[in-house]
Amino acid sequence: MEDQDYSPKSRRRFLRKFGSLGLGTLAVSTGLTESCTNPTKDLESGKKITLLNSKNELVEVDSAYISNLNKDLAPNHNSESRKGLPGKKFVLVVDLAKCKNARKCMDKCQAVHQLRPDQHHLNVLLMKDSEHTAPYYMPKHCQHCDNPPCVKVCPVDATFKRSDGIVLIDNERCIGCRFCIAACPYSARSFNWVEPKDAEKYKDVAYDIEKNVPQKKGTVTKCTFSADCLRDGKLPYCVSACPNGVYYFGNEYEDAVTNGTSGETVSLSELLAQNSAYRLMEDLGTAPSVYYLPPKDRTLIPEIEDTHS
Amino acid sequence: MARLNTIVAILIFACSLGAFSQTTAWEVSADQATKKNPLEILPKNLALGRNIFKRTCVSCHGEKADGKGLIQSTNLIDEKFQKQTDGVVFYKIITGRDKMPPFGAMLKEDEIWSVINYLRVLVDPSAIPPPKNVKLELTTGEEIKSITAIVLSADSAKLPLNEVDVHFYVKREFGLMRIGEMSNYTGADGKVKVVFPEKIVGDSEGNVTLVVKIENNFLYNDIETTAVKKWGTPLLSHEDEFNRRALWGARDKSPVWLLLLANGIIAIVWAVIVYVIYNLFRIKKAGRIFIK
Repeated sequence: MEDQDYSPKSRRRFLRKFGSLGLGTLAVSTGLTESCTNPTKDLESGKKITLLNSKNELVEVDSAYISNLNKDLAPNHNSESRKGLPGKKFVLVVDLAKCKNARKCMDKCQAVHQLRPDQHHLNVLLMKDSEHTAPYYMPKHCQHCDNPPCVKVCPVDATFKRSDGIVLIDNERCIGCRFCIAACPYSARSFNWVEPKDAEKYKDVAYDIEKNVPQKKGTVTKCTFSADCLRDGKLPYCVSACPNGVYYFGNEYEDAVTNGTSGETVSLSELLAQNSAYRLMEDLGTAPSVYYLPPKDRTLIPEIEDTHS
Repeated sequence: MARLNTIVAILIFACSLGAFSQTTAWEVSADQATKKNPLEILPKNLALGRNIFKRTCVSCHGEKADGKGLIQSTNLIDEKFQKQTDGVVFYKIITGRDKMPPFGAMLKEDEIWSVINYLRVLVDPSAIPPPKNVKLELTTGEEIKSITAIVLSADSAKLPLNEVDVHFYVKREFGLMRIGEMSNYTGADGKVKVVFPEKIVGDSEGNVTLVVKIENNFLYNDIETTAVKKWGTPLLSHEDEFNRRALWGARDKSPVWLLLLANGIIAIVWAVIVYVIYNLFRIKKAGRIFIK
């Protein structure tokens, strides 16, 4: 009996290892603790199922001990998501000359982040700087400032700056005081005044801090630079949805940005220098991570209806 | 009432005119339409056309040029499009309309003609021979950081192939960054050399992944080879900078002097209050003793 218990393949030993992982990390659980204390051979079906645990180890468990919790579990990265990806500093370059207001980026963003049509993580604005200048379209994200005013005012440490440059919100910490909305000079944040869109549909979805989903009534939401995509090494949702090649996204430390439409990768410093790039409200000292290339050589100049004539 | 009817009628007419103008035929003058394509359908031209198509057109017209890109657009492989003359297509690419941007300023004439040739070949691939396999080898120069690609025929003879377009890239976070020119053709010895640019950042040890490709070529099948070299500048850790106590608002990032000052002021004020209360008790006690 003892041999059986302590042999490397013993079920008891396996379960002891297994139990320490906690319930939250596995899509199977109930029945485990019971079998741990009272191993009965009769229960086993003999059919082994291979599972991947949170330590990235493949383990085998008898199918009799598996039951479905029927609930989406929190993504593994939630505990990591305050730290940021090492060796990276994300930067977005928006080429205003190419924006033709296709709004594919907005559609994708609102679909992914469970936003109502009036809520924006990203908004394409029609701009006109002065009376005699030509209007242009300007996609405006959260600027992911290196000196973020919103983070400074948060009284509960719900919004934070990561080492890879991303500013995120932990909606489970947010108390809805909206100080950050008042502090943000770019109006990048929006508040869930009412129940979010599709609240019923997202009821059982586990909260993903890097996606801001599911949205919570009474909390603040904003652009996340699609941190969940970046963790997987993919470009943000908006960047890859643009049909006009407006967005370049990349790692500032690597000095390279990739166009989401054409897939071309270019040197960040050259792109910024050759096109006289600028950042929004530079004089505030917020040091944004979003750069704009001026709307020159445009193929489409939007018309603004003159309301004064 | 009659007047209102007239206004409504005019409005409807105006609206229908507006709608009509959106769908009117794209008029191209006769001399533009009869313009001849100066480029022959040669593999080299076609490769240029394919490269440009992949870079500029795919996003809207789709990988297969069937109009199913990120937005719905004109199908370039159906009969309706293909029956237009080269001159008409050329004019339309240059001028653009609605969502189609005018490419006159963005592309050279030869480049546009080569795209047109590529579109013709898409529906009629009989004009070109089937592509062959090649062998791609790499050698690197250490003194001057350079990478040389050697293109050989895939058969046992291993003959060097000249005039093959080779593309050189450095791997980056989200894609491949081109080094060297858009097109680098091999010489008679089957070799082509590209100098590694300065100031390319590698990983924390300075390693860079070089990717050499033969792609979008009509004579040869796609092939790619990679090499890892310690040629880049090491990626610096910016953790210290990030963790520097400079962000005043967040508790864990506020400067030490600020913490000391603010907490010191609070401590002093409380100390005074405590001292006053303590003395009040002492006075009361002293008073009791005095009365006795």
